[in-house]
Amino acid sequence: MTSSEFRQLFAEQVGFVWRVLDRHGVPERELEDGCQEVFFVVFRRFAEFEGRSSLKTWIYGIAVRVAIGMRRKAFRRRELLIDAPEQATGAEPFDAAATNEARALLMAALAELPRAKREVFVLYELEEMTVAEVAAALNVPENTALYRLYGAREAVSAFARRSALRKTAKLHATQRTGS
Amino acid sequence: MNERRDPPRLRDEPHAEWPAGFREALAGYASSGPTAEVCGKVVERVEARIGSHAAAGGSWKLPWRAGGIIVAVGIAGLFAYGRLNSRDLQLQRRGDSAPSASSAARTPHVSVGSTPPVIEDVAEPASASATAGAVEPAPSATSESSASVRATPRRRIEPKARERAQAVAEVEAQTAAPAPAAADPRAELALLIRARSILSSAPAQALALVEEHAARFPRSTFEEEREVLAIDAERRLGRAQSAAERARQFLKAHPSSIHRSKVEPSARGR
Repeated sequence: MTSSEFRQLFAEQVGFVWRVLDRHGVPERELEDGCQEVFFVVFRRFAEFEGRSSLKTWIYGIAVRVAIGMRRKAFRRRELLIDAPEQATGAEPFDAAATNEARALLMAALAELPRAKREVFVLYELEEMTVAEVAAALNVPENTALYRLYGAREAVSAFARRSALRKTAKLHATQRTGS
Repeated sequence: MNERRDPPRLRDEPHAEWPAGFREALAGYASSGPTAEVCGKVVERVEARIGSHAAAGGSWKLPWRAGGIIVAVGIAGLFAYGRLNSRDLQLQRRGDSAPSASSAARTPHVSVGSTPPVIEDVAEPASASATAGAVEPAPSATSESSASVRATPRRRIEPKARERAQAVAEVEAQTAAPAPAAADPRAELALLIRARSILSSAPAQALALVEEHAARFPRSTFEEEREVLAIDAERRLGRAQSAAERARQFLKAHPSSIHRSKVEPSARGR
């Protein structure tokens, strides 16, 4: 891999890697280190990437392994992880940045999903992977990925609708008490 | 990779009862991530590690310049296929802080990231000793070093020298005297960004924008990205044959393109 290729790859994938690490429980203060580690591995092992999966899928696998390694190391240091893995894939990592309500709502909807469905949803709907890529990344058959995806979509969409209804109801209630 | 089976994305089928902004939140998720400053810092640290890795017998084979990394990464990031919108903001910020006269100085960095054939030739025949001599992990944050990035290897490596010199001269000519139409890279970018943003919802219009781009900026630095967009648009319009033909031509013209994996399925007619 040449330096220009590497830089381009870095620029293209850094946001994705950052979000994967974040969702997989790497504490915010360690995201930079995590990113560095992922891209160093990507560089070192690029020759082994044979295009059997997509580049993004391949990088996803590396990022997840780095995240697991970092969590394990933190555990050995007896560090208390603010983002424990189970909740980490949910709303917390982005809450600080979620200035707008809709984004917070999306994060809340994601937090409601079981982890397996959530990851499929995020990778397909939000990270724009193909079903084949998602299936390869999560090591599940495509039909399983699709099945989880449909379940997750319905749940997220319903969550958003319910929240809109609740908001309307609240508004009416305030108006009534106000008048 | 069979994308034909893929259902339309949820944000392209918004529900009438969703609260305001929810669709945008779905679409905007992928633009969250580190700031340009953090990106620059991380890439520098990775490069330093790669530099020492190469010095210890690793496979890094290029003169290593860190000049204007942040700018290079930021602009290349603009063309991170699929993340165009978010990066536009960063460019906008840079554009605001830098006087417009510096746009010419920025252009070479753009080309560093998007002219792999030149670099590729340099890297290939490098012998171990040439490599060791060429590795320079020390970052120097000047924006002037980009010209020497191309000039230096020309003297170092013997084979293919003429061919490479020609390519180098071509690139230098392009960057040194940009066509009047390409004077403002932001205009170029804006058009492709718009095309990308409507790719899934209105591929026909996206394709029209791409064609407009090709007409206005025939020698764009972002030719590869433009063609990848065009191929994707054609595929989405159901013109599999035409997309496959374009994809094959693309792969032939840019065998080492970073977009290769994205284009290959189209070339196989999928």
